[in-house]
Parts: sequence; structure tokens; C-alpha cells
Amino acid sequence: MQGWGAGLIGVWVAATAVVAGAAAPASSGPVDGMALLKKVANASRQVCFSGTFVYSAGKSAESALIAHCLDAGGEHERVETLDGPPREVVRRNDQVTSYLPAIKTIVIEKRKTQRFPLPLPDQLNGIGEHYTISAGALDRVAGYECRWLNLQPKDALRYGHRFCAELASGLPLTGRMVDARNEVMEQVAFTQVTIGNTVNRDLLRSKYQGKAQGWTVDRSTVVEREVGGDTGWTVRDAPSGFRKMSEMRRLVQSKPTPVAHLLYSDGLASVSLFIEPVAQASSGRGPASQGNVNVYMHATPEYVVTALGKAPAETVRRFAESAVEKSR
Amino acid sequence: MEKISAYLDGECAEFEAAQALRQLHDDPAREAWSLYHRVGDALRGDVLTGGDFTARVMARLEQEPVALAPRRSPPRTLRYAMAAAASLAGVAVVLSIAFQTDSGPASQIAQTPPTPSAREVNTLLAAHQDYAVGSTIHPLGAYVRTVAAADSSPDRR
Repeated sequence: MQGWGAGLIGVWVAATAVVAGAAAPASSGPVDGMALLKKVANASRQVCFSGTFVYSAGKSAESALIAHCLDAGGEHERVETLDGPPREVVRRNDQVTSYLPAIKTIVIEKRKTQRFPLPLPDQLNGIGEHYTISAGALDRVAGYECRWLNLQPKDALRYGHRFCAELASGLPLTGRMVDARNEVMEQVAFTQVTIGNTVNRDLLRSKYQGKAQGWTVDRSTVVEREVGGDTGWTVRDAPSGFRKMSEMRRLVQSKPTPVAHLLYSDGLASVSLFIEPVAQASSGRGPASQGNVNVYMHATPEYVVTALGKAPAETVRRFAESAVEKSR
Repeated sequence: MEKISAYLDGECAEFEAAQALRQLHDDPAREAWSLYHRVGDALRGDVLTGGDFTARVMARLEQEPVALAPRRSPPRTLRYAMAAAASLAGVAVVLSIAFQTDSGPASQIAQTPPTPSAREVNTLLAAHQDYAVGSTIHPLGAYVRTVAAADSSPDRR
């Protein structure tokens, strides 16, 4: 495979063109929302890009540098904070290395479970069942022309999403989560970005490479604290469109025994359920929220079920109240 | 200890921060370092400790004069402190946005149990975000986390 960006994008554009069919060239006619969604989802992983992005939610905003490429060895990514204490994260597929220069420490994490799950093609189709997908107007973000992709929920159980996808690559230059009144709840956006084979591959390497001799290296992984598989719990009537993505027993801070963790997603929103014995659970019950995260703690005589995620309060309440032990 | 807090506070010059953190490797400061390292572990919910470790750590943080000096708005101080602590533990947190917990309406009814506090939610929120960070579609979402700004007073509004 030649080069990073050009080769991959070339192959990928060709593949998309075949999928989209000759009748709908990208330059004219109505744009199919689902085709654009697939393009965006693929681009996030397969396109080579580097730039500066800003995340904002509520009254807060923070910015970081990112570089990302995919090659024969898999995904390579580097992110560096621009605000607050310096932090750098370098990712090679599932291995994540964090550089903490202020304390001369490197932390290496590797998970058996996929840390950065990507939606599968059938999940993308599932998104269409619970969101109205439409391609919108052209716009311009970070100097690139882009087209808005709108994912409007068909019910009140999930929030809306909007992406502005760069025309050639499909890379989402900005992404917004919106509530039922179309108010922006959070936004992530490039302020400057380079797309394709002009991305400098040096940007994928840690800036501390070669300078980190003598730094403390922490390889304590999280793997042994997690056991995947059947926890004995399920959700009787999961809110429509949500499917189980992972299930495990894991040890978490301040809990003497492992908690059951079930993760559900509808392809865009994800909700976690944690189930633990009443004796070790905290005393809170009912609803709470933290920014865009809603929480609901529901107690049975023996267990406390906590559901939380970036989903409406009603969704997490339903999850918490419909968790059941399989044997009962 | 003051310098460490200042570092977590994001208020130290880089040189001062480095000096403060080097100091941590010295014996008298080691306990403090261990504490702050474990703050990060605690915040990401990955450490194995008995008892309410987060509460103990937060109590210590709250006693810190520098970290709590009201020369800047508390939320920002807390945000940086928690972002720093989380990243000290090495988790792939790049951007951490702290929010106060809003309790649900149930808290107004006297005889019902208290609604979940930020402190109670923090551990599980961190555990959730290990696997589900941001949108699965947007490549940048994976690096953004919500952290709870732990409520320091036991009596909730």
C-alpha cells in the first residue's frame, strides 16, 4: 500500500462509489443520509488527519491536538492537551500509552475488550430505525467544505446528533449532541485540520520519544480486573434499539467485590448498568445528572442497579428498573 | 504539599511544577505523592481499595489551603485538579469536563433515601467511560470524559 492517506482514501472512495451506485454521484442530486452516515463512520477510522479540536459542554471548553492514521499495522493516534496539565496519549490499536511529563511517568494500558468500539454495518442500519437520518446543507468548518448529517431521534429515549462531514473524505469536522429542543448540549469541533497524505507522520510519534529515559513505566493493566462473559443479569425490556455491547464482572474503586457491568448502545448513545449487592452499594437512590450524563439508581431487596449514560433521564430509569436476574 | 496542590490547580509555572513533583519522590512527600497518584486511580475507578477511599481522598483535598483558596472560581480549580489527577493515573483521558451533580426531584421528599451524590456516581461513571466514551461515530469523542465535581458538603441542596 502506497502512502498513508492517498492510498487508503483512494481505495475507500472507490469502494463507496460502488456502494452508492453510478446513479448517485457525490456532486449532484439528493444526498442519501444513510450513505453519508456510513461514509462518516468509516472516515473516523480510516482517514488520515491531524489538527486542533475543541470540546465544549455547558460553560466549559478544552482543546487538544490530534493526529490519526490507519496503515497495515492498524490505527495510530496521538492526542496532546493544550489546556491544563500536559498530557499526551499515543494509541496503537488497543494499546494506549499515556505520557505524563510533569512526573516523568509513562503508563501503558492494554485491554482485551475493545476499547474504542466502532459501529458495525448492521448497527448503522439499526440507527436508521430509531433516528431519522438526513443529509443537510453545505457548510464550512476549519477551512473545509462539509455537509451536515442530521440524526434526529424518532422517540424521546435518545438525543439527536449532527455532524458536518468533510466533502471528500467524510471526516466529521464537527459533531454536536442536541436535546429535544435542538439545543446543543455538547460539541466537538476541529478549529484547524489537515486531511489525507499531507499529514506529517511525525505527529503520530510521542514528542517525548527519546527523551523519556529514566521515566517511571507503569504497566499495571486493567485486564486482570475484568472478567468478560455472563454475569447472570439481563435487561427484560431494554428501550427499543439498544443492544448489549459488552458484559463483564469487574472490580472498581472502593467496591470490595466485583460488580456486574452491562453496556448497551443504540449505535450512538450508550448506557451502562452496574449491579452490586445492597450491602456494598452507596446509599443514593433515584435520579441524578452530571452535565449530559443521566444517572438512575434502583434498589431491589438484594441488589442495587445503577444505570447511567448520555441519554435522557427516562431512558436510564427504564434500564435501571428493567434489569433482572436470569434465574428468576 | 502546597506546591503539589498548586500543580493540580494548574497554577504552577512549569518549572515550579516539575520541582514540586520531583519533591514528591523524596521521602517526606512520598505519602502525599502516593495519595495523589491514588486520587487518579480512584477517579478512574480502577484501583482496588477497601472502604470509601474517594471520600477520604476528597476530605484530604478539601483540607488543602492552596487547592481551595478562593482566588479563582472553585469549579475551574476542581476541574483541573480532577483532570490532572485522572491523567496522573495514566488513563487515556485528555479532556475532562467536571459537572456538579443535580439531584432529582426525589431529594425534596424527606422520607425517601437521598439521591445519588457526585461522590457516589464518580466511580461508576469512570467505569462506564472506560468503555463508552463519547459518540461511537466521532473520532474525537473517545478522548472526552465527564467527571463529577464531587460535592463537598454532606447536605445537598
